[in-house]
Amino acid sequence: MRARTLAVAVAILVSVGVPASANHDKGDGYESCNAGEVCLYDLPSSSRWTNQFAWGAVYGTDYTWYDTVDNHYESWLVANDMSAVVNKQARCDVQFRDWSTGNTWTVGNDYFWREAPSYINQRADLHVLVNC
Amino acid sequence: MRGRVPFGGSLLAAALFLAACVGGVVEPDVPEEVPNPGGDLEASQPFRSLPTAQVVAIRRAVAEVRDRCMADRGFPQFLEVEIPDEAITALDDIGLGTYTFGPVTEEEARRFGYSPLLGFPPPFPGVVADDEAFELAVDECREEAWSKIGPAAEDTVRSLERLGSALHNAFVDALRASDAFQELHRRRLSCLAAAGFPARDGAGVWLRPEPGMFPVEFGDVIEVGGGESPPMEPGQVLVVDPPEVRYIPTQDEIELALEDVRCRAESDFAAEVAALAAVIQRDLLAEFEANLTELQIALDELVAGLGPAEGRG
Repeated sequence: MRARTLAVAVAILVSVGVPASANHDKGDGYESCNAGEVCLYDLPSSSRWTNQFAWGAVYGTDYTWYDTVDNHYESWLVANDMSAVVNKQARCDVQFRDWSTGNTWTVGNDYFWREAPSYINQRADLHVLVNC
Repeated sequence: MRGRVPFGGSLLAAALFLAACVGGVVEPDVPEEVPNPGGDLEASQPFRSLPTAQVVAIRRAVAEVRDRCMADRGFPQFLEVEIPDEAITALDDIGLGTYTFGPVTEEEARRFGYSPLLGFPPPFPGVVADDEAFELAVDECREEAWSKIGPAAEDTVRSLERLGSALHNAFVDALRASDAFQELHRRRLSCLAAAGFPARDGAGVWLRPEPGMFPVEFGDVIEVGGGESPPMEPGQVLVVDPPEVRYIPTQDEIELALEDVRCRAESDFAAEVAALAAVIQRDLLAEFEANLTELQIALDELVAGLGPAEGRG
């Protein structure tokens, strides 16, 4: 029974496809970073791997990076891996938080590329919208 | 530009629940609304003396003018999405939160484990646009709204919020670096090791454990509905709802969290941390007293210029 249940679960997962759970754009659905979005990047000096949100989000195991060059989802998680951000929110700043250290990093909605400082680089567990 | 990959949220959630059942993970028992920060540990901090209510009053006044200005220019979407209190300013969330160290009660440990949603304010809908006129209106309406509050209003509020952010990071860094907290941390780890949960080396001094810090598998945050990106067209402005999410802790994680709650209770961890936090925060406020006094004077002038309804709070 256990094996059959597992098989069903795997079959559903395969039919749905892993990328669905790791969609890189939770904003307007487009690869470019557009108005209203908080655009996260895996590397401090490259926009190749991204994930974009229109709201606050806890990353957990739900989001992986999207490769905008080869157009596929990577296996590595956004959680504890963000190194840069562009905040194109219309009304709010974005604040990144690391639960383990308690550190936070707040980024204004100025449309500029911002590298994460060392205390939050590759450590953020989530982001919330603040100073709206 | 690339279209969105179709999302099968409910089907995926069903698959994940099935996988969870056969993987030794407990049934999901997380309510839609997880507890938000609040309580004695948070309320008693010296950082709460910062003029948060005045900043909230100013930001609410700015938001009202800005969002009305946007509507007058043909973009009423912001009027449809009210900003929740916890998103108005980050100033009210500095220092310790109720869940800074994980679940507080055994009941919370059983239900949530170390859910990263503990202390995470529920997200609110976003407004996304593929429209240059929208972006121009955002800039102009923001400027108009701040200028109506008073000269240098935005600078004053943002300076205070930046100072709050700096105070927060200075505080958590000083807390983790202090001998007193490191002793509390050692006692916490010893208690957990005695209960069968030895911490792995190399994690440093942490506040809330994360996956990998113990030889215990942690759970997953999963989307159980919503959150689908709309098919945007050029010139469109849309309100998009965030997905509904759940955290599914593992049984081992729950056992660890339960022992952690007991260990912290036995060692009077919360009271000792609160006392230590009070000293550190008072020292930091004293260090920045000149800046805070200057900003407070500017803030008082701005609030005095608000209308009766705007000045409440």
